[in-house]
Amino acid sequence: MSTETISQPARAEEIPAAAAARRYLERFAAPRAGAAAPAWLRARREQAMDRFAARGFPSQRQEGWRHTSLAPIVQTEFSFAEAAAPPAPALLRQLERLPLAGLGCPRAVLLNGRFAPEWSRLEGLPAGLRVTPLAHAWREVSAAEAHWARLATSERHGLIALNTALAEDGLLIEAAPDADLREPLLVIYASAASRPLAQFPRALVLAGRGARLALIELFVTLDGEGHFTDAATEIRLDENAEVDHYKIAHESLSALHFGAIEARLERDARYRTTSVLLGGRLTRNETGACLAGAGADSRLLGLYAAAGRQHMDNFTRLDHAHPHGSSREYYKGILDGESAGVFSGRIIVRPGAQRTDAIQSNKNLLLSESASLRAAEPQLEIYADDVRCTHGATVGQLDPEALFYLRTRGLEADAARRLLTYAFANEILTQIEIPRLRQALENELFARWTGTAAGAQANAPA
Amino acid sequence: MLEIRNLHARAGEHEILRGIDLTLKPGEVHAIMGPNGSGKSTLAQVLAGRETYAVTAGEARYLGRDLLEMKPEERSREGLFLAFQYPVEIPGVSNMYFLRAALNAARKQQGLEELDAADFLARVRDKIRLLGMEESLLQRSVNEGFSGGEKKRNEIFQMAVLEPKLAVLDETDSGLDIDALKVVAQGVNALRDPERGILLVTHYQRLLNYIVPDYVHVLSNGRIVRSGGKELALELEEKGYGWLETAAVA
Ligand SMILES: Nc1ncnc2c1ncn2[C@@H]1O[C@H](COP(=O)(O)OP(=O)(O)OP(=O)(O)O)[C@@H](O)[C@H]1O
Ligand SMILES: [Mg+2]
Repeated sequence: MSTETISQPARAEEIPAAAAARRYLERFAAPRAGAAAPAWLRARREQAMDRFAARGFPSQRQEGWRHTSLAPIVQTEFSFAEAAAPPAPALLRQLERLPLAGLGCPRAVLLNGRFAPEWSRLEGLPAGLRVTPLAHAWREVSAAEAHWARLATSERHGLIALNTALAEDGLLIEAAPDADLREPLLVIYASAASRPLAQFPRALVLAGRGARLALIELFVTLDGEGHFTDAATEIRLDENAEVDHYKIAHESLSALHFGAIEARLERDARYRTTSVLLGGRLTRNETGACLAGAGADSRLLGLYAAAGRQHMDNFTRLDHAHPHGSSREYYKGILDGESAGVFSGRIIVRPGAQRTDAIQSNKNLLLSESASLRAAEPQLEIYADDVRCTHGATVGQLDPEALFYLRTRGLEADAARRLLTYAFANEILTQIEIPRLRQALENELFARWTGTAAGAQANAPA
Repeated sequence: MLEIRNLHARAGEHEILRGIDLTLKPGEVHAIMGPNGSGKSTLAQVLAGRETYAVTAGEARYLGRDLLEMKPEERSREGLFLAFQYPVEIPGVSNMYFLRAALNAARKQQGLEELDAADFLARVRDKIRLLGMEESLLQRSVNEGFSGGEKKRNEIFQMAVLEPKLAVLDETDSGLDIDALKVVAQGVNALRDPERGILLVTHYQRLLNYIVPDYVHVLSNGRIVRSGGKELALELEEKGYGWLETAAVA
């Protein structure tokens, strides 16, 4: 694959944050449904709202936001989901038809940001796994007070502040120490509304010492156009815990999506997260991991496939605070049509975090002349001397040698192109450790790029 | 089945083939030898339809059709096979899928039913054995991380599966030890047939001990400077390519 210089785009006009923010302030001031929030929660929400009121939405002048304009979010008057009426059966059928919803594992469904018990399948959870709606956990579970909104904090920026202030519900997921929970838990964030709606789902994941947990978060649109998802997931890994986390963003092509993932790893903990971005008109996918104990290991994988006018922005932050930590980042993008991809990453190595080993890599495939990719130089902040920190970004087209090779074996030029595109993505898919999820995504992408449903055998064993 | 007349081809400004004439009839094995850079691979790639090279003069007919008018995939489906000097690595596409797609493309052309994974495997098993390949190579990505020898065997394996009418083998012997060479030769010989043509591009005479050609041509600086029977290869081995280059100028 060839590398080319990446040009700097022009900055868009900044949107007056104060005007845009008013709707959210009003919403915040309005009485909330359900039982009264405990004092600590009210305080945290208020602090978040103050923060949002003061700073508004991130602008393109801010570091890390240069290539992504939030104008479509700022300029839309979203409505807000009212307390859940029982969801319509037709919508449930639609949910069940989603290939990824039927993975056959326990699932928790949030509809428009609120827990939907009728749609969730949480009976018979394995021992050691506890899933509690946040609306309940906030009041009843002390761990919620201790940990909620401590990693994805309002200090980061307005979108996280807004989520913190306006989240009505969400999930608390607890894995008991040493519990083996590798049979995955599926969390579905579904959106369905007749008007463009803003939802603020939130999850807090606590993996106890030595626990092993597999978690899939799936974002989908069941009905309605142009909704705004402002999501945050916090994951705490105690010593030696292992979490294998997947985020699949598969909302409608008019959806606006922001998602923050913030993980904190204690000593020897292992965190692996894989983001697969497929839907959405505008997506900002932030993944941060703080290696807060020696020997922690974190792997961030990403695949983003955009076409038409989709815009997908991946931002990562790796914070190495202790010695012997290792982090790997591998993101691949496929950009077709007039789509735009963005990748930028920050790596912080704090004083004393000796023997840190951080590798960041981003590869992109441009399938059309009008597609673009902006890969910012990584922001490296290194305050220790014995570290290895490497990074690289490439933008290329399909390999003409490989295309020719396939054609000499009888494949049509177009089929060869699609197969190579699938193959490019497949390098990330093959690393998915949940076979059913891998298969479902392989099928999805294989069909997308080869136009056949012949099964994703391109790289599967026969 | 293959007639090449006065073929000229260039890459950019660089003229590489400068008037090639060659006729190959069904059942024949022709060897093309020549020093590095003489244009052997260019000829092979032009026959397979590589667009990097512009044909500036001459013609090539295959089975009575204008070969140069056909797309690479058409040539393949009509039974032309090129074993690459440097087989291409394709990460993310399994060898198995790749080969089955290739075979099904050919079968479709012939009006035959496409094979599913199980049928395919059943058909290719003995060919894998013939070439002494590990079956696990099928599961791996095409040529990715294969050793030089594995790549060459993989080319011959593809040929054995596709059963082409005309096989062009570009230095399939290079980089092989003698045992691997024998296996590859065995694979090629198994395909020899009165209906089939083989064009063997090689740098070394050694291969021709195992695959005995009907004709040997020497390519130098984009032209065939000498043609003869299999003895020509031995003569070349003895005297080196320098001998011919001087002879050509004289
Ligand atoms: N795409 C290209 N662009 C420019 N020059 C090329 C290209 N392909 C081949 N050439 C040049 O054409 C000449 C012939 O190359 P070719 O690969 O056909 O030789 P060869 O006989 O196969 O050599 P070898 O024995 O090393 O395989 C060489 O000088 C080579 O550098
Ligand atoms: Mg060559």
